[in-house]
Amino acid sequence: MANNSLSSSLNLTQLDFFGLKNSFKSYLRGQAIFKDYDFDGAAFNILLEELAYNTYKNAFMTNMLFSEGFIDSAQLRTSLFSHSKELNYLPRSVRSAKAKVAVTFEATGETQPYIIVKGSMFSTLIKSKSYTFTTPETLIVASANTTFNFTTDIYEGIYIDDSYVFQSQPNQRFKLTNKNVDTQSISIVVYEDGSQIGDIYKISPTLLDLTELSKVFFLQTSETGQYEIYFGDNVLGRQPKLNATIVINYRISAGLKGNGARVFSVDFDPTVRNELTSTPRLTVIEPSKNASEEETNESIRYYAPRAFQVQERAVTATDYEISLKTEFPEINAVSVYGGELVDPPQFGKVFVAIDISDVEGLPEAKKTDYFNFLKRRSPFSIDPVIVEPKITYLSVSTLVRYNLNVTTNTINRIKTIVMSAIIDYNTNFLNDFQSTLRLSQLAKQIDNSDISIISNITNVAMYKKISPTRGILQNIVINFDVALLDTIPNQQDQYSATDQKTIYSSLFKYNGATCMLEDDSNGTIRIVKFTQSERVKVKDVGTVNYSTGVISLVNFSLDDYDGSFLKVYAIPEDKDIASTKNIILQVEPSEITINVEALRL
Amino acid sequence: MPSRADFYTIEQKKVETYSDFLTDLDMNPLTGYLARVINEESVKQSLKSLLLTQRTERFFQPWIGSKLNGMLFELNGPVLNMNLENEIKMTIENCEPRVAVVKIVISNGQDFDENNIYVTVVFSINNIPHQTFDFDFTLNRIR
Repeated sequence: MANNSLSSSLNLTQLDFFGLKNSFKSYLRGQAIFKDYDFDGAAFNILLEELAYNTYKNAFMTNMLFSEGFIDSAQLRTSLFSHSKELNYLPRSVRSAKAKVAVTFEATGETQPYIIVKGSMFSTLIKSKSYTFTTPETLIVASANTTFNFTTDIYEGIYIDDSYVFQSQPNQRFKLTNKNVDTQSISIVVYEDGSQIGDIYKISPTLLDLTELSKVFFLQTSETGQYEIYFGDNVLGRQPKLNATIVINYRISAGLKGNGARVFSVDFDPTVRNELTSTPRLTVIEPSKNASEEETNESIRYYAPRAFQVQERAVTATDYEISLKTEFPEINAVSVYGGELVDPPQFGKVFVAIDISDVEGLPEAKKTDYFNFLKRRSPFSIDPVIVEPKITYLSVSTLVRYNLNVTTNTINRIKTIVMSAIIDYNTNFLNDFQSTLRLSQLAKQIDNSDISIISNITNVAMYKKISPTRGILQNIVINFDVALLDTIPNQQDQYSATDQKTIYSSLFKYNGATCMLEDDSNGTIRIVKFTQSERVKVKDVGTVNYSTGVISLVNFSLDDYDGSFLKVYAIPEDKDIASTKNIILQVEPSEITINVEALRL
Repeated sequence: MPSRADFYTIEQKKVETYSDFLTDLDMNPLTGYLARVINEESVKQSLKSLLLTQRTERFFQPWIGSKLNGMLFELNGPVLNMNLENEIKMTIENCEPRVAVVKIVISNGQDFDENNIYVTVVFSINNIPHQTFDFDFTLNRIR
């Protein structure tokens, strides 16, 4: 039932059906001719519902229309495409996975050199599903004997053609018929005047330097959510002649599903004329990776305005980050700092540390790609230097006390909960450049992870992984890049195992004994013999600068160690640990130690 | 000689407790305005409308109406009649607060093969005391 207030004017600002219906009822209270409007079965009530529904639909439609009118609230992908077009931003398409293979085959060689055409197919199975990889360009293979080999990148997906005839109407646009196009693979050949030889048109992301003779095409998104191309107007970019045939060739990709292929088979005859004398052998140099799905709506919403702000130039640190992340979907994190901050300073350079997904370090090929991309966008006198991220690992040990009276959780369950809390903290606040571990926040997250936890005493140490060669004297520099604890009293040559150290390492074998590295609290790093109860100095092997966090091992050698690396730990002076430059802070689950104490309060 | 009073009948003006327009939006031929139904006629129109509305038919109010239409596909017999009676009673109780049901009579007419069910609802109306009214309608399958 509606409220009893009378209304002399009709209020239609409500957005829901019942609000509108009640507004109509309030309005009708001002008349006495039709009194039944408030009863469900009355004809007037049914009429009110029709009116309320119609008003509701109009209000909803208006709301939706306005939502789609702004990039912040648009829900339809086509609306976002349209908004990003206004900002000169091209949403990223799906990207094919890329692998690198070497193929060797035996053939008679009668008709060599052999031409491996663009789009030659390799097949693979990923999670029991078959995928096709293809060559991105034509290769010519020749040999002085009967053994032929070639190395090539291959991309997931097959190539298809869309053909159009250039007609006389203005503003012609040519739609790419398949939505799963990898736009990086588009190539266009234009055949004019019935010629069998076509002109290659190249994609142009900008109008700069274009003339009426430039054979370029432009790529944009269409109102249907597909990509489309268009040509210049004979002022900026050459326009194909009337009735020219336009052949658009591109690759269609399965996106992320193409990642992770490690075994391929050759699905074509490299000799074309059946001259093979053995089955081609294939070696995988790099398994398939770097695929991505099409850009998400949220990503478009975030990057389109920023890309407009950057204007394809890399001037500020944020410009570098936005440009790189927009172009290369595999990039996880970017840190940019000036050359004046490195030691020794390198003026005129900007250092760009890039962390990419699923890969440790940064492959040389990727460094070149990123450099070439940035060089075109950097100021003339600035050289970008692409550097690998350096990871400083964090070892977390915590003593957690919990109240048995408020929970049925076991000690192991509490351990699992605390472990999840620490891993969540790592995911949300660390694992990135320019991140800071705030010990109090970590402690708070542990306290809040379960209602029964009363308190925790948490300590954090940093460690680096080094891989010294066994049995060889070597110099190693380890840079923690933060000040280290320098308040521990000096150690003698023999001391208790429980004494605190600023620097210590995992165990290794030296001269047949189990040893480790430790500092003497006076700036010297030494090898010490390890027993459960005490440490005995063996020899000095380097120095540590507590204020800069740099450890220098000089003429250091060891016999053996477990695994592929040695861990060198350091206690920071400040409990809050901040990463700078190209350093990423990361907590490894294997280095989380949790002790739980149960109390009854 | 008849007196003057014999030429006039004293009629109290009927109090309009309920009023609605006709569902077919018919006009009053004299005034040209929408024709109206009042009091028990308005309530009867409302009852008919409710009983012949299928549940879920009304926007945002799936509980309004009855399941009579669906029940016409059941086997014709005393069980169906009982179910129909319950359904009619429940619909009126839920959706028509002006009416108190006195009796519901359901019959199959003269011949079972007519495929019709005749319903009479005897009811009283709040605000119109000391009177009962009846309302007849026929249910038949149209497909």
